[in-house]
Formats: sequence, structure tokens, C-alpha cells
Amino acid sequence: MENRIQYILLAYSLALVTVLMPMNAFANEQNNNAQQEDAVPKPESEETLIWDEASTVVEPEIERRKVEIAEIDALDVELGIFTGMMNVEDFGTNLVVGFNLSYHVTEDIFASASYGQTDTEPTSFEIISGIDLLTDDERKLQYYDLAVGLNLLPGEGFIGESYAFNSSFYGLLGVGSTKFAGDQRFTMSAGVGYRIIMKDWLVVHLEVKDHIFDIDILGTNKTTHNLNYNIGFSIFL
Amino acid sequence: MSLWMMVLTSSLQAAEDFAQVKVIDPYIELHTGPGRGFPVFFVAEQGEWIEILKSKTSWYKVRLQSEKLGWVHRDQLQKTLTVDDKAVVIEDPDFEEYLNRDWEIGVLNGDFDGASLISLYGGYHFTENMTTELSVSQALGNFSEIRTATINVVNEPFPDLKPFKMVPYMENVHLSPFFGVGAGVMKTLPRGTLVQPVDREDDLLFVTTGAKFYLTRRFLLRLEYRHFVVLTSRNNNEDVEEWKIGFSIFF
Repeated sequence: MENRIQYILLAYSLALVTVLMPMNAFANEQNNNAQQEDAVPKPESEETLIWDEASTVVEPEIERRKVEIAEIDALDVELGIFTGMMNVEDFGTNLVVGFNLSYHVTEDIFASASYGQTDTEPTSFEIISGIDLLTDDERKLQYYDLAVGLNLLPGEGFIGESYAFNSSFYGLLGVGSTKFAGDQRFTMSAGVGYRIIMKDWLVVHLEVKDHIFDIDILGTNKTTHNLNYNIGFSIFL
Repeated sequence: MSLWMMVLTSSLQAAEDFAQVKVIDPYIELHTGPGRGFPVFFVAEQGEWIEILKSKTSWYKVRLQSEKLGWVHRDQLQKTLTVDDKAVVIEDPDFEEYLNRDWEIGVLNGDFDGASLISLYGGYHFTENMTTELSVSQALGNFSEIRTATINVVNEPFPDLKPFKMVPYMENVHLSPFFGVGAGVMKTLPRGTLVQPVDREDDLLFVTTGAKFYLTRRFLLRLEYRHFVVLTSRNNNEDVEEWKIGFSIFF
């Protein structure tokens, strides 16, 4: 118990430090920029005036429509599906499918909820001894997790000469629950992913995530690491 | 084919609806993507009319007259004029909006009487100080799974405290303490590995206290402590303590 509380506190403080430090650095940078701009006197009146006069001559008569800025389409919510392989410790590696929903709070931080499910196989012990530890229903593993993500290393990826896509790495840290072997199990998850932005609304993800939970069906309580790697597609809404 | 035509016409119609603004600064910078890490690849000059197509977090995708597309930060778009020569005001969520928020949703993680807790909540703000909240939780312990659903009212007497003015990196952190009372139901599902498991349902009454920290944009950090009284069908009621920490988003 003590260990778990320490685990949680440590994870949160780590997440906070990594999130807050770059954010403040960015805010300070912007403040500095703003101050610098204020310090430089603007030669506004004359130049703007000249430009305005010039524009009345040059600019063609185009009727411009006024549209409320508030109505601009915001693409901050991301809905996606994924598939891949998930290893369940002692219970084999199988196909996993799932979906996730993310909200991008800033360019650095996003919140993400995901759900996935996979089947598992009999353990070596079950095969050798011929004893079944679990029923068919209990062999199905379902998980959900609620995570905070941090975008890292934004950049561009190139395919040949003519195609360039924006991309970024991201880290994920979350908590959730895994239903397996007849019980719900508290689960911590940690992962990294690579996001390729194909279109403004279409994203391809490659992701590796570890689901850490305790399991007690073999008599003693044992912490297991269950690795899941997957590919996903998502759209921005 | 007709479907494509429909898509095409609808996109053409949509194209007319984009907001247009005029650059008044010497220039504004266009990035290749919606983030400060993406490189600046072009600038829009003073006097140029640009169209705003869409936004992602604090970044706006714009189209220049030369058909070039790029992303501009909100701060730079503030330096443009609308069609009727008014300064562009883009309402990005900030502390003002935080104080006037209506809805708040969040996820918390913590401890419920020794069991690991995951909690999801939604709140509606009647006023700056008064909120009602609904929450559902799942606590996973060694012997049982406990599910709770609660409703409560909280009061935030000081929504705008700035206690960390002297601490580096924390100058702008706003803190708002809260206090509340509530009620709910609790369902206990013993683990399958236990002998003779019996499900149980009890009512709850609780007091709550904690603090919300405004971090950035629509993001809050929330710390909460709850003290429950479980109204059991046995002779004695039980006391249960819960603490949790998590993040919320507001609208």
C-alpha cells in the first residue's frame, strides 16, 4: 500500500514538473517578447498612413464578408481506433483492438481516455498439467485508462522528395482498470508514441504502452508488466 | 460522382465563409505546424488580407492571398484588423474565462480506505462560488471492488488566490480552496478469489474539502479530501477517508 501511494505521488510530481517547466519557459519567453516589442517605439502613424493611402489606390474592390472569429472551426478533440498486439504476462500475446478519445488542451498537453480488449491463451502450467485456471469468459482482458500526454520533439518527416508530414513524439502516463481473470485490477499505464499528421484532420499513431497491474490467481500477489504495441488512426473533430 | 460534386460544392461554399483579417504589424510569421517547435517558413506582410481557416489549441491555420497555407499563433493574430477596421479579438480561454466557467469535468486518482481509486466527475457552476458536482468512482482493493456515485455542492469562497508569488515558476498559479457536503451510494463487490462473496449496497454521506489550481488555458489541477460516513445496515456506521488528485478541463 505504502509503495503504491509513493508510486502515485512520484508519478504525479514527475508529470507536473515535466509539464509545468516548459510551459512557464514558454510563457516567460512570450512575456519577454511582448516587453521587447513594447520597448521599441513604433513608427506607426506615418507609415500606416502612407500605406493606407497607397492601398486605396491599389486594392481592388472586393466585397469582404465579415465572419465572427469565434466561429472558427476548432480541431482540439481527437477520436481514434487502434489495433496491435498485447502481451499479457504468462498468458501469451494476442491481437488487441480499441478506441481512444483525446482533448488537446495546449500544444504541449493533452488528456486521453482509451479502451482496449484482447484474448489470452492458457499458461504453460495449464498446458502441461491439463488444469484450467480460468473460464473462457475470464480469459478475455478488457482495459480502460485515463492518461495525460505530453507532446515532445515536434518535427517533420519526409517520404521521398515530394511529401512532408508534420509529426511529434509524445509520452503518456495514466491510471485505469483492467478486467481480467474475473476481477477488476487497478492499472498504471505508461507509454510513448509517434504521431504523423497526414492531414489537419487525419493522424496516424504508432504507440507502445505498458500496463502495470497486480495479479493473484497463481496464489501470491505479483506485479505484471503487459506490453501493448499498436497502430491507430484518428480524426480531429 | 454526384457525391464528389456535393463535397466539392459544399467545400466551395464553405470557402466563402472564412473570416478575413488584415495584417497591421510589419509582418506575421507562418509556421509549418500548430506549435512553436515547427519552423517559420513564410511571413504575411503588412496590409495583406489573410483568411483564417481553422484552429488547433492556440494556433490558427491561415491562407494568404498567394494561396500559401500556414499556422499563426493567437498572439500574432491579435495584430490584425477585421473587415470593419476593428482590432481582432480572439477569445482564447484564460483566467477570466476560468472565473466565469459553467462546466468542469475531470479525472482524479487516489486512495479510498486503502484501495486505489479512479474517479470521474462533472460540475456545473451556478455562480463563481457555488458548484454542484456529480461523480462516479471505482476503488480497487485487495479484497473488493467498490463503486460509488455521489452528488455534492461545493463552495469556493476565494476563487482567485495567488499564494506562490515568491516561488520561481509558480508566480502565476491561482489557487481556489473549496468546501462541500454531499450524499451518494456505494456498491461493494468482493473479489472472486474470496470464499462466499456477497455484494453489498450502502448509502453515503460525506464532507469534502480541497483546492483547485488554475494551470493554463482550460486546465486545472484538483486536490480533494473526502470523509465518508457509510450508513450500513449493521449496528454501527463506518467512517471512510478518501483523498485524490487529478486534472480537469473547464468550458
